[in-house]
Amino acid sequence: MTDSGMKFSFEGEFNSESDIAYFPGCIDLYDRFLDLKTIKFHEIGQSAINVINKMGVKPNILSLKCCGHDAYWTGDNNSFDKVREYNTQVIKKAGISTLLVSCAECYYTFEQLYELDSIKIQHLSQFINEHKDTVEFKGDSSINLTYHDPCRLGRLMKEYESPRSVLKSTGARMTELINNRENTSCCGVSAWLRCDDQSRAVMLRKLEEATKAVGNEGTLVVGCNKCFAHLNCVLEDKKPQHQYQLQVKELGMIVDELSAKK
Amino acid sequence: MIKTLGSVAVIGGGIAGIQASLDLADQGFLVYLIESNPSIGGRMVQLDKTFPTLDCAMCILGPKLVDVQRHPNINLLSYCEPQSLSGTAGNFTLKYLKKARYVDEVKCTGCGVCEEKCPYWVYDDFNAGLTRKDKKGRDKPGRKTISIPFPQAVPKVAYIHAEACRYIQKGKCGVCQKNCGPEAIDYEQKDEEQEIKIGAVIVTTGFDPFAAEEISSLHYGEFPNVVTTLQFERLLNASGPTEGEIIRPSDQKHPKKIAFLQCVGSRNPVINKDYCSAACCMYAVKEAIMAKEHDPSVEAYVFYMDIRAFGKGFEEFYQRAINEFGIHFIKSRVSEIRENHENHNLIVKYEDFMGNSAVTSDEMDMVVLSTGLDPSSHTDFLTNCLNLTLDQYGFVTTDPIRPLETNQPGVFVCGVASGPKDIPDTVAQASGAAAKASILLKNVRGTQIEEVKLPRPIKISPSDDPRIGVLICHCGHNIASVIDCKGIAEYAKTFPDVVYSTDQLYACAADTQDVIKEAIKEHKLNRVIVASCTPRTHEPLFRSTLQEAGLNEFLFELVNLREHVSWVHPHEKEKANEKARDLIRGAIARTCRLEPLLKDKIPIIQRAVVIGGGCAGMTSALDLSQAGYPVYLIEKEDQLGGELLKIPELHNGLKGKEIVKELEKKVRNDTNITVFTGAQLENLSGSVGNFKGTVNDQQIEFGAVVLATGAEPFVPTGYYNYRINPNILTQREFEERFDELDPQTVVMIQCVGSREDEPPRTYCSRICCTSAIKNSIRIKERNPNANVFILYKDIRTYGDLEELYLKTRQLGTIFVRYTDEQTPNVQSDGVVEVFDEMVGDTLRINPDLIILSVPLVPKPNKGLSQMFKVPRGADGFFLEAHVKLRPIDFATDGIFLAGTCHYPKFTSESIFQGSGAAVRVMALLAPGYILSEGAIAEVEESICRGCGRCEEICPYKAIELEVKTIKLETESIQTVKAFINPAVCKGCGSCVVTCPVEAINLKHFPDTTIETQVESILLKTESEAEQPSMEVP
Repeated sequence: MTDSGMKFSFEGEFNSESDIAYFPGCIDLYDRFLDLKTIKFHEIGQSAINVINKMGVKPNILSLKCCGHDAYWTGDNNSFDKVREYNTQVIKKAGISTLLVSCAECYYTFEQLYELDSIKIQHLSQFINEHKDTVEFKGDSSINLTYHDPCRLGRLMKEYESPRSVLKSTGARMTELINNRENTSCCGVSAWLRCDDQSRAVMLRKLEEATKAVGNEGTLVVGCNKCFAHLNCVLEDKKPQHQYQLQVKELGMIVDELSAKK
Repeated sequence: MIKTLGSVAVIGGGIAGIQASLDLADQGFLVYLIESNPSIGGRMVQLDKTFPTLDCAMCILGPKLVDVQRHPNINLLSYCEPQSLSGTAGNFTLKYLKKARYVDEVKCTGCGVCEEKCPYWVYDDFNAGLTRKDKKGRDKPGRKTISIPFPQAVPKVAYIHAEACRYIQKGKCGVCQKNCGPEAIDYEQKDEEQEIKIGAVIVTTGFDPFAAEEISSLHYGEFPNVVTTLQFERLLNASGPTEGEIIRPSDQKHPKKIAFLQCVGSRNPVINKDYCSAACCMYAVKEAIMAKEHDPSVEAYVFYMDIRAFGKGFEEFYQRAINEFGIHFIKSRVSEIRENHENHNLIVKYEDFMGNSAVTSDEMDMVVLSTGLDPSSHTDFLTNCLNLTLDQYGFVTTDPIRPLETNQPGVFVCGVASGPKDIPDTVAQASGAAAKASILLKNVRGTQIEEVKLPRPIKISPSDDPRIGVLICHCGHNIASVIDCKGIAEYAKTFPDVVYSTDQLYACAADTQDVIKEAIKEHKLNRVIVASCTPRTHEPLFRSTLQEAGLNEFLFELVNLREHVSWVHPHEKEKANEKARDLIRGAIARTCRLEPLLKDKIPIIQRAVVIGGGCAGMTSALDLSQAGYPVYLIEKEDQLGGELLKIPELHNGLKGKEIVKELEKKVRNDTNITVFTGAQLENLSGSVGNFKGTVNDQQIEFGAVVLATGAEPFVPTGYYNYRINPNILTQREFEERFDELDPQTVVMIQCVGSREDEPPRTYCSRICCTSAIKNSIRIKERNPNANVFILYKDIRTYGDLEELYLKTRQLGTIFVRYTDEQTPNVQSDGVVEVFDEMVGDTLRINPDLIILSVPLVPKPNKGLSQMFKVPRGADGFFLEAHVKLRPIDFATDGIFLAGTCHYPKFTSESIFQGSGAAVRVMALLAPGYILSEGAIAEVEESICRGCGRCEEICPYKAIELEVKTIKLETESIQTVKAFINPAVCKGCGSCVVTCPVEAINLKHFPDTTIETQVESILLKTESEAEQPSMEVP
């Protein structure tokens, strides 16, 4: 078997023998592909690791290929089968008990589409929720947050509570979007397909809702690398025809910002 | 009434002649380009790389050579010697001698077999007399008696050196004729006297390198390892006699220590060559850098008096040579070379001032003499036949404010023929000369050329089955020696869409075009593939052939079997033929999907705007108006004239205000020029050919723009107590107060605020040395007892300005050199201390006046830069399309520049660049329309998500983001959509690959066609080798 998974370089404390492994997803590839000006996807992974370390865990970082979500959802079973086979081997070989992911799509895919029976697949929000007492949170009510339920975490996996619990614990003020939980509208694009005027309308709607919830100074928190990509891409329009100025951040990034080791 | 003829003779086919010819031909003038060598290209084709960009000379010049060859309005008279001129401006008769090549130009295809077979050798002028070793290691004098001038020669036709040819002299040999496929050798050819009638003449005779043997103490021609810079250039060049290896003539070894001696044949009153040749410093620095690039272990030494790096990018190039390449620069002129007779090493004696002022000598493996630029050998023709006034050196004299005109009306001059200069100045001046000729003949433009008439295109329907004709070219032996051309032709025939397939010896030959046209008719072909050489050479020819047969030119595909197969895989015939089949297969798959494309004719407005009313801007405006184009001249200040108004006296004695007065009078009296002063152009919209803007609330429409916004002196706050001590002035301030100030002791400090380490002012401001020297002469002439000291880093009085440097020294001005490590020190009491290397001690001078020479900095241009979307360099000056060959153009179409907004320069240079910009506008506007490219990119709006990446990346600024309202089912959203302007798009494809959602399609190269072509190459048919496995990445 070739060693052709993605290689990551993050700062932090790691333990290749640990039975908790973290897989950041395709974030480094997005940095090359999307080249957004103000956002670096690499930060998603780095914040997640910072948080995991702060919570007293030194994770193993797995060098996997893409989980295959997009291949599956666009009908490319050939590619999906191949990456699933490769990733399964690497995961099983690592001898871990828990696979942590920060991307909602990875979460759905590893949980539902892979056969990793004995291994617990955990979304970062769930991990943080479990370990939230190990850190001190320094958020206060001047920080306005709202939360967008990613389709793969919310509607498909029914995980609505952990992220909310985490955000509330940070001490920031958490306001709900008008359409939330199972009624949340999608971020607008799936599997990088058809990012067109319709999906733009969907994204603008989301940003409108979010601005209504937290204002121009607030932050929309998402729990999925893709949602993070698409919503920030609209905000970075070269010749924006919208006035939205709020920030869109990923859950791990917020938690990292607002937490400190005890 | 003598008829005025709409044709021009350009005498000299170097880069100047080529540029002038193209500028005239593009407007519809008939051009006769006369060149005495068998190929055009002049000195530039002999170069390897060019400074300061290190672009390969042939790569940047090659396309222009092809443009000349292909241009329907240019008659190329190569290997012709002009003999006499009679008549008057508007109607001249030029007699010339068409020298016998002994080869039929029409039949010869440039295959090179004759050269290969010829058993005898002659002196190789193109390779500067260098020799090569044959297979047995014997020294061969140079080139064959019959040869092609160089691989990229235009025309690519062989020629015989009659005086050395055995057959012509003695009736023996005849090998070339026996081996010539097209039967092009004709020993009976004779020189022919011919004549042409033209309306104007442009002299572009260029230069010859100084004959270094004239300086006997350098022993050129005696010591084998003493070579000239031209010879070194040919050693560097991969097409040269050593195929790009720098080797010593004596023993063929690689030299490790190379010395470059500057000013050989220049700055030398003893041999009556007082002038500076302007280009040798730069080309020596370039060659030293190239020597190190070829072999990093080489130590290169440049022995110089001044390093004249005065042009755009030159100073930075010089600094790279020092810092990045470790070239050693030693300020000492070497007058004598000795030889170590045992190993033919050379001993160079010099005085090294850097810390060690003793006379030293060093042993070098090779010495390169930087020979100066002599006027060309055609001087006799210029004086005797054209009756031109030449200066004492043989260069054509021109009036400083009429730098393109000679003493003969209707005869113009440009390039080195009028004085040593580098390539960018030559190109700008050549365009200027073309402008003058265009004005003279403006009423007869288009009367001498033949309109190319094409037949009605055959109707092709998308549902028609492809009927492809394939032609495999042998290219003499270039392809056929490796590829089984007949076999490939048969292979092509096995594809159902191919209804005709043949092989030919020379696809590019004139008679083969008839074969192709016949085949199209007979077999009702609707697509054609030619498998031959690179598209760079003949694609336009074949496309024309298709058009002449009634087929759309885009239904043509060219497969490169030469550069891509036979020339790169000559020793692996089996695999080469397999590759040839793969490429043909791919081409057939692609050609099936080719569609006819139209080049839209976009009507344009034949009016121009010139922004900036200084000498460059006024010159542009006058030239354009005189050529028949209405001009809007827009000047920001309340009066015309620019910086010249503030220069009382120029270095040549002319008064700035008087020059302005003369130009302004002509401008104001010209009804075709509308002058706006105290005004700026605003609200610009549109693109090349169709711009709109407002001036003083008036709407104007125009087709092209010239930016001539000028430059102004830098204010040296913080340098040398300027403004703190009242006795410290800039040169400009001194000039303004010249009459009232009468100092007894003056210190001038050069390079204040220029030639710095960090941008923006890393550049050399070109004119300050001359300016300072001018003022020193004025001071000394007024008061011979005055003490004038000039503290300098290099004195850059190039060309004939060197005479001013001589003059001021004769008047007693003292020059003290300082270095960056030890700059002059101006104390608070005004005393100046400077370490003088030559003396080895610190001088203390107590001057009445300190004058600082500061650089020119561009006038504010950020707004214009943004409005027109044209770039500026790190120095703040506008950045032209190409620093060497396109100093007047921007990468964006329709916008041109002239004068000091481009880079500091002298008034005569601003003037000829102003004329140059005018002709570039004329060439654009003359036809009245522009053609879109045909193979351009198009945005599929429904997919475009308005991210703007394409707009950012387009090198031609052809893309705009237009705001659109999109109606969806439940709501409307505002978004932007990319729009590609077909008038500006060049079809480069950058936007296609940048678009993250694949919303852009490139006509003629749609993704599906490329995919089909690639698939068809990779998936061989069953009869071929085993199926390659496709790995999933």
